[in-house]
Amino acid sequence: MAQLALKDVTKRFGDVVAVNRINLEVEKGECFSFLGPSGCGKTTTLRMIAGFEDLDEGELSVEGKVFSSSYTRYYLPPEDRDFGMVFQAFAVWPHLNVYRNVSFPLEIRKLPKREIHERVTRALSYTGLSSKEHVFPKQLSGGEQQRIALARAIAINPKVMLLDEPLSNLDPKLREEMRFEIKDLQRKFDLTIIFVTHDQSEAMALSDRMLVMRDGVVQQVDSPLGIYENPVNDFVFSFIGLSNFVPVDIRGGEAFAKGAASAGPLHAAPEGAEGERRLACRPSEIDLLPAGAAEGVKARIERMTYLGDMVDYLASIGEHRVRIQKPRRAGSLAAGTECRLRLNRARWFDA
Amino acid sequence: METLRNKRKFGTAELLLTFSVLVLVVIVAVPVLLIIGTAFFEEGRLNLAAIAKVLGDPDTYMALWNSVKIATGTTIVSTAIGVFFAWLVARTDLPFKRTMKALFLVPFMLPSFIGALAWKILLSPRAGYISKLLMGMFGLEKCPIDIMSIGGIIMVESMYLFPFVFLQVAGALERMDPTLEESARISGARLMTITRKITLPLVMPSILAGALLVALYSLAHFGVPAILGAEKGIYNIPTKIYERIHSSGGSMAGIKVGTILSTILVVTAAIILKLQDVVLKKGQFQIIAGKSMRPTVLKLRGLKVPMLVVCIVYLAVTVVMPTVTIMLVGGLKTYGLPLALKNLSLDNYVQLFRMKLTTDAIWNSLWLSVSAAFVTMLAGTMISYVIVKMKVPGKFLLQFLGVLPFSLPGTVIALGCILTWSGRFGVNLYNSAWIIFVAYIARYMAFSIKSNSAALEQVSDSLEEASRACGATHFQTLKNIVLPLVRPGMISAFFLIFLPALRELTTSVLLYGPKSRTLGVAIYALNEDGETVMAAALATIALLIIFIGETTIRKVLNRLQRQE
Amino acid sequence: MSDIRFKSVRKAYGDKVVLDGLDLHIRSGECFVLVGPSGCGKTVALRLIAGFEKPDRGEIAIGDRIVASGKASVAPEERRIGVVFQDYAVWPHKTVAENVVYPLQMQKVGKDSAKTRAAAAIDQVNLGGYEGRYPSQLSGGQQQRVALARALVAAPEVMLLDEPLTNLDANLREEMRFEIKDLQRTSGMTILYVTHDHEVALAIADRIAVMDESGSIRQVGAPAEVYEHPADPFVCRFLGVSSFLPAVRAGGEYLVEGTGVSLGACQAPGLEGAERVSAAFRPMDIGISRPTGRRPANATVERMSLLGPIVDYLARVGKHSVRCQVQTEEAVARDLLIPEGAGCVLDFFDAKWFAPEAPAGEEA
Repeated sequence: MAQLALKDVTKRFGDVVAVNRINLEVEKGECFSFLGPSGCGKTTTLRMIAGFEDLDEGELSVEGKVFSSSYTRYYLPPEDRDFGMVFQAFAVWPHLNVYRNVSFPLEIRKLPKREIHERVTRALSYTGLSSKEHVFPKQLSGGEQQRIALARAIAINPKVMLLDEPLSNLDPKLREEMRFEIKDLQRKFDLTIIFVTHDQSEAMALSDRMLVMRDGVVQQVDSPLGIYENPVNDFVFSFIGLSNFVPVDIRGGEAFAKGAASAGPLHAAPEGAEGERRLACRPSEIDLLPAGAAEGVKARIERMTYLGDMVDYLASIGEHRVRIQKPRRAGSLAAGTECRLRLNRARWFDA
Repeated sequence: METLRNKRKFGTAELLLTFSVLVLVVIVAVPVLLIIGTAFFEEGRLNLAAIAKVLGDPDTYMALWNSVKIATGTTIVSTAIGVFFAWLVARTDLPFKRTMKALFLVPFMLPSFIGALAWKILLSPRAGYISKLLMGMFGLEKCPIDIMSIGGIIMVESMYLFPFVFLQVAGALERMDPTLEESARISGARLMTITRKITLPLVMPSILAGALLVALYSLAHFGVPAILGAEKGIYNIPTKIYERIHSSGGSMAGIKVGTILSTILVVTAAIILKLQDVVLKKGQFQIIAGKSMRPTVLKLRGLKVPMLVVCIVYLAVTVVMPTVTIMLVGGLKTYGLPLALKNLSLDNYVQLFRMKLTTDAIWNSLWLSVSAAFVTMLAGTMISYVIVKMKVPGKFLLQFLGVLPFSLPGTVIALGCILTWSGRFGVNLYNSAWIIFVAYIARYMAFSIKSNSAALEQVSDSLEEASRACGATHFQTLKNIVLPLVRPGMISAFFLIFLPALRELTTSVLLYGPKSRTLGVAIYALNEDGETVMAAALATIALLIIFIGETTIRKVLNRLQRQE
Repeated sequence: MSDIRFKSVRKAYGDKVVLDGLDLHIRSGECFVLVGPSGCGKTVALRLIAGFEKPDRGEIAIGDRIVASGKASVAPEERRIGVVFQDYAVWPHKTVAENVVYPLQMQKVGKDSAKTRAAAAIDQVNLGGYEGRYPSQLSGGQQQRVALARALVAAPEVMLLDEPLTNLDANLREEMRFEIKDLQRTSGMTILYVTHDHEVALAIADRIAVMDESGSIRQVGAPAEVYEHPADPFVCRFLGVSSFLPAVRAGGEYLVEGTGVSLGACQAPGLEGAERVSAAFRPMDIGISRPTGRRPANATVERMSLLGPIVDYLARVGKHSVRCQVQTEEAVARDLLIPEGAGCVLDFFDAKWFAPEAPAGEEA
């Protein structure tokens, strides 16, 4: 039985279909991300799961029990769902100290004093806030405030933990640190997590599985590596990382960059393909070869940028531009150098 | 390499600083110092005996006590009304919320002394229209409600002061980050618990800030207690000061008592402001949302219509009824006649425009409010710039003088002006309209500084620095960048001053001369002389002017806003 | 063209000394990046050049003009510089064209010539067609382009950029740093660029100066030089993820403390023959592979995360954790998606050697 199941879930705002027939099952102990550009419907979906929005169509169930359903017109209010939630703007209560922020949901549940104390202490120690029990949120940094929100959500042993862009308000260094912390907490408490973000590396680093969404429609559901390696369409491909698209003509089983056939073939074409296509590849999937090499397409380095461990190139094939990124250890080519490029991998999309 | 010589010159910055200091010293510092000096010293020597005598006088003692009672009562009642309506408008699904919100600010437009006049006409124990109705209906000897009492004063003041609380609280409730309540909900709390444990504590600072504003205003308020209380011997400090100075014919002895009472007022006001500062500093929570989302709204269900009716009835009773009463009474042939069509005419209005007293008053109020607003706006912009943007030594003094007028009640400012501008420094403006002009500048400077400072703080330093880096001098930068950017703040300062100045009573009632009555003074004087009908007629004209003023201003401001 | 010189410059606010005895030479026509943690005084240095602040002591010269010396100072408007701010600082009441033409108006350039030059500057930052818009109608990136055009239009010899990309999103930040670099190449201006973002610094700079919290400069050099040969652990940590390992001498090479894992020989001057040293590694200078019969595991994978184009590992050697990274393609091809808790083989290349640090260093 899935911990969380969405069946044909749909939400409309006036004429706009914000979320269009989502079907999804999330297992217990799974960390699942919703990834997509802003306005794609990921937050709306999360708010429907939380119960802050009712759904227009479909059914949502947790541990096999229906929480919202358009068929039976049933709706369980958020306060009865036993979920934990963490918001982008922290939403810690400024008039309560750290301890009281975390104990509040437990007091609402009328748990015995001793148990409240035990649970709060445990949640605070796991989030590294033990020494800050009596401090008020105003005196804490953004990262610490978000830890309070995490502790508050964990303390109730939530059926599902909902995280709505929880790291977006933090600076980059802290963001990296906290995503590992969230992952650790998930393991320690065996949490089922729904994580909403627009940051692909955050989603990849955290999730067991993730979905990519656009205009209210789910594009792909898979493991992070599955999505990175085998994107179902050009949107997913370009959203998930830096990408090159080159329009190509296919002739005799080989793909030539449009208008730059003299530079040589870019890559072998997929079997049986003819005509115009778009070839896509990642900057890291291109190798730089010397101009005199026997293979590869002729190109010229237009720009070389030193990024530390990596070196970034902009190369031109005819009038097409491609980005290439290689480790510094592989050596570097200066701007203006003629060279050849070998594409180790190609994905094909319609022109 | 060329060497660098240090050119020390008197630049734009120094000029601004000098002028700002000059204005604040002349307008604010000197009058205040003179009041304190007069209160504490006699012929150059500290004279505490006089102070003890004034304070020991049961007459002044009673005034003090009344002030405390009225301010406390008004604060409590206004806060209760303000919080209730704010919650209704911001957090329930009350129908026509936007309209209702706008309507709840209308009591701000109505000058409270005109409101008091209307209520006196309606509810004075023997002659009030409603009193007579009630007595007739129930065959009573005495009306059950006596508006001319401390309770009545509290009631009338609250009617017109509650918007202070309403505005603050509705704003806080609307801007509050909805996730603060949502996270309580997902934690398992129900609406009542959330309201009690989360929402209320979070808006408490706003409630207190609004309440303290009401307290400050009520403490220094002249109009309502003067109209409803003085006749019955109920005085608060401002009316007592007026009474003393008036009964002594403006003699030094009366003024001396006035300065001692003023000092008490200033000290109390300063304490209230300090309290407010503490409340705001300690309790102001960062509850404002980054992105706007709809807050959780309580569904009123069956109470939807009854609540709307409550709002409408409240506004009808506190706004419509008094306004209509004033207008009708203003048309009566003789005071006391029933309000029937046959007893009404426009004769009073015709007569009003024949009287020098009233045409003078209208003209005086108009030019005084326009010119004082304009001058105060300009001076306030300059002073705010120095306070907010410039790094100069001695700025703290400017800051202090700039906020000081906040704690100066209108009565105190009037007294200070009498002491300063009656020839002591070679300038005698007494009995001329110019003394009112100067007093208005002092009284409203704080408004101007507040509005302009807010606008200036929005102008990031880098906008000015970018201009300097582009080759513009300090003066060019002020002209090309700063002034255009603070224009909205300046315009709003102008109107923040113009409107209250138009209906001002507290200050001008102590300063007017034979030819320099203001609208407020004229209405008040007519009422004092028992010319209730004429007072009502003039009040009607005042309301008309205010109404026209407000609507044009709103139109102008809206157009400006659309342009920005 | 103009160089910029700081000679023993001191600046304090009240009791807080921000810069003390700062000496710095920014060469004519170079893109010089001053990088350091927030609050380290790098922005103050920039504001001293612009003239928004006056030094307490010392001398600042732009080209052969001394602009500040002791208490005397040239007003900002007389320094002929371009400045771009973090918050854009475009004037909201002026259109794009009005913003950009303003410096020329202030310099009393003729109307026609000013118009042509402003149009050229607007084209240069790719804002052609937006001349009549107000800043509120533009995105953050476009507003920053207006600020760039405004700073460029009067052809200043010196351009100061104060964290100009911090308020932009990641994609735009990358795009704009290339644009700024291109502008500098075509115009030949001297650029001082102040930032806390080491990635931008490495990407854009001809030379980098790394400043520490106390306002002193730790190292000046070309990006590759400071990244690959940091002068001290602070510079090393500041310029990117790095793992520090305490090492002990064993004959001609050094071993990770408490293990037999070799880190190679140490050639760092001043550390020859030291018993204990600290070795720092960039994530890609640590190679990772699966253990084989010939090469048994010398470390354990504690955490593996896919970050998109890169797979990031946290691995434990003895009592110490190190970060290492492999490109995702390579990781997939070489079967390096090693589960957490499993053994792995680490190879260490190009150690940066420092004197031993007090506590055993983990990841930065």
